[in-house]
Amino acid sequence: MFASDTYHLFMKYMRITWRMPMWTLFGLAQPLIWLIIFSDLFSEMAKLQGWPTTSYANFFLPGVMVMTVLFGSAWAGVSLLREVNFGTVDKMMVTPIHRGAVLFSRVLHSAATVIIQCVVLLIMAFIMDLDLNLSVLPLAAGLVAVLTLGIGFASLSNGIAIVLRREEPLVVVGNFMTLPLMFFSSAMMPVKYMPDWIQWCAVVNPINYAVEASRTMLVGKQDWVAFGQGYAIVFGFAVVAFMWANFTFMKSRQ
Amino acid sequence: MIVVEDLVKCYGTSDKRSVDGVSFEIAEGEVFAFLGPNGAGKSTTAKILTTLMAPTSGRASVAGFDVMEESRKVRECIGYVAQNTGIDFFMTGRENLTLIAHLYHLKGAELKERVDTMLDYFSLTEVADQMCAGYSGGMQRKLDIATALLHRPKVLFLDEPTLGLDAQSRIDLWDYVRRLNAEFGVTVFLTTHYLDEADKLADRVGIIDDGQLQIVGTPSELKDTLKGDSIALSFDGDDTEKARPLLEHADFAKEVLTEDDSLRIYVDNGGATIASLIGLLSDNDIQVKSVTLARPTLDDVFIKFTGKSMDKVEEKVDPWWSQWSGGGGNDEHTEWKGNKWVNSDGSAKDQAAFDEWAATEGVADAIAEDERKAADAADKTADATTDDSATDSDDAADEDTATSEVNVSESDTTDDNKPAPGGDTGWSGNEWVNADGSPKDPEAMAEWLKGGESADADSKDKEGAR
Repeated sequence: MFASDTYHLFMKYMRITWRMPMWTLFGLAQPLIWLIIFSDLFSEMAKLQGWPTTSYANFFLPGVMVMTVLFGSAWAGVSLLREVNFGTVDKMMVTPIHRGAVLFSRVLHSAATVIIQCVVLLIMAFIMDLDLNLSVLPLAAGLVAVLTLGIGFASLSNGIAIVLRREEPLVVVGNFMTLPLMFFSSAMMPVKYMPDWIQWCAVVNPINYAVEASRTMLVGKQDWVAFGQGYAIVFGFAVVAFMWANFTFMKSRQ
Repeated sequence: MIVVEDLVKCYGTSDKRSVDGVSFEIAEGEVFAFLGPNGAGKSTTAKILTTLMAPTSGRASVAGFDVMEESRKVRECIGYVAQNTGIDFFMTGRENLTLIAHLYHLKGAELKERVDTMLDYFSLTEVADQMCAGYSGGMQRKLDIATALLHRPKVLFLDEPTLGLDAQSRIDLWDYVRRLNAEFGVTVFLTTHYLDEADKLADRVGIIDDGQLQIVGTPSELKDTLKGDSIALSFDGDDTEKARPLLEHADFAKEVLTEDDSLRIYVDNGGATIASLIGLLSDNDIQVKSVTLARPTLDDVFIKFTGKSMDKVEEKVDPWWSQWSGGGGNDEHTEWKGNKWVNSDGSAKDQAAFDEWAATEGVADAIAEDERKAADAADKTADATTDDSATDSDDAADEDTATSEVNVSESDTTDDNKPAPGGDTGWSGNEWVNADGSPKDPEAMAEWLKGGESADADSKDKEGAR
């Protein structure tokens, strides 16, 4: 069964992640460092005319959550290649599981680790006394948007890994993608301050919609319509990315 | 239990057939070994039968289910142990087993009981709660097999199960395979490139080369297709061609095969024939560089049906970087072959171009160094070396051949062969010597050469192994 197969494989990946103390240490610390450094570095920006929030840290929090997705999921494909080479994938594929669960459990795991990092970020935001909506529903909606983006982005990384077949070029492609995708979104700066051509890039960037969707939930006045529109695009991106990755993965094993 | 009809597999869009029209059947309860060099199509066949890969054409069914149409049903009744241990190193043995048991949709008390049974059966209970990263190669392999047996499969696929294992672990593993087959009636499909493994384990052996199945039969049937013992001879220079007609007309030779630049002669009684054979050759002024006597093994069968020796078949695997290097990944290089520089494919160099290159800065030193090493290697092994002794000794594989003395021994027994008196024996130009170059005790040697004693010891050892 797809659900239980996914669950068992997902638990395996979570277990392995928790056993890597390096991940726990740096994985949890990294978004915090970003939040602290960037909030301080760009604190003057909030004085710009028409800035949407009272402080830069307030504006940036949804952005740093999405940044965590990008940097956390971009290398998700590396471990897929390792599992292919170690024969772990073959071992799963000869059992009578639903084969879609092999890849889905992986991307779910990547997205879930990002959610753990985001929860740590929110706790930090609470400590820093940022002006956020910390009621349950908006919080959950914001995290779901991040989770969905994580699934989509991890799928993309896994699919590209299958196409490239090697870790090194995957790292190059990951590096090539992440920073432009982040700067072409409103993660660090509202779209209205951007030059025209970057605004156009932002329109076709799914990252931008994830940032906007979670920001409207977490910061300032909630706009459920804007959230619904943004989330629909992020969801569509995740579905297409996963379908493509799974298709590529199955085809590579023919 | 397994039926394969005209199976063909081409990778990607290439026309190269990795598996080229293979057909065979395996009965229930049989241990069947697929024997062939790397890249012969063994693993590809195993992957098709385990539904990991789709065939390009042809049909295959396992336990009555078609591997394409009913692949999930096939997966429910097979166990597969791949070349790479697919276990997770950051989980304990028990966790690995439990995970796979879940994937086979076992539940609750039954799952726990099966996991415990497997740990017990493979003597892993003590280390069950340790991380697999700390397991030895043999333990990892046992755990790997255990995961493939949790659901009590009807067919067990073992793809190169003893690759990279030490001798003791190999023997242990063979024992497990025999027990599984005997106690539970599991049909076993085994691929291997170890001849002794196929010989000792399999009820039937299929020899595969270049994607084609050359012959199928029991090990003894296959050996019976040969004519007696085999003697391999190698010579200096073009003596091979001079020797061949001589030997073909000798009354003791039943068959003479050429294999690269050495000859293989099949005779009734190898031990008794060697002396007259050497005599015949030296009467005709032919210097023998090395001589090896062997009882018929599957290696000889392999040579007979593929025209090449198992250990001479080179691994031709597309290297991973080929997709980035525009196909330049074929290890092309210059090597020092005895007394001249040649290209890696054995062809002669363009001398003018080579001299020019050699004169460039730095290259001359490197060449001198290589030549010195090659000379050292040649000195070390004196006359009794195999043909390509003097290649670049940096290369571990080459060094292996360079130092391997010519053995007159029972080469079909790797772990339990009886050494000749005085260690390895080599034919040094005109006399038999020990491995250290000292002369042999002629009486002991003569007795040993008769073969009686060593043959007895050999068969006893074999019984012991069983």
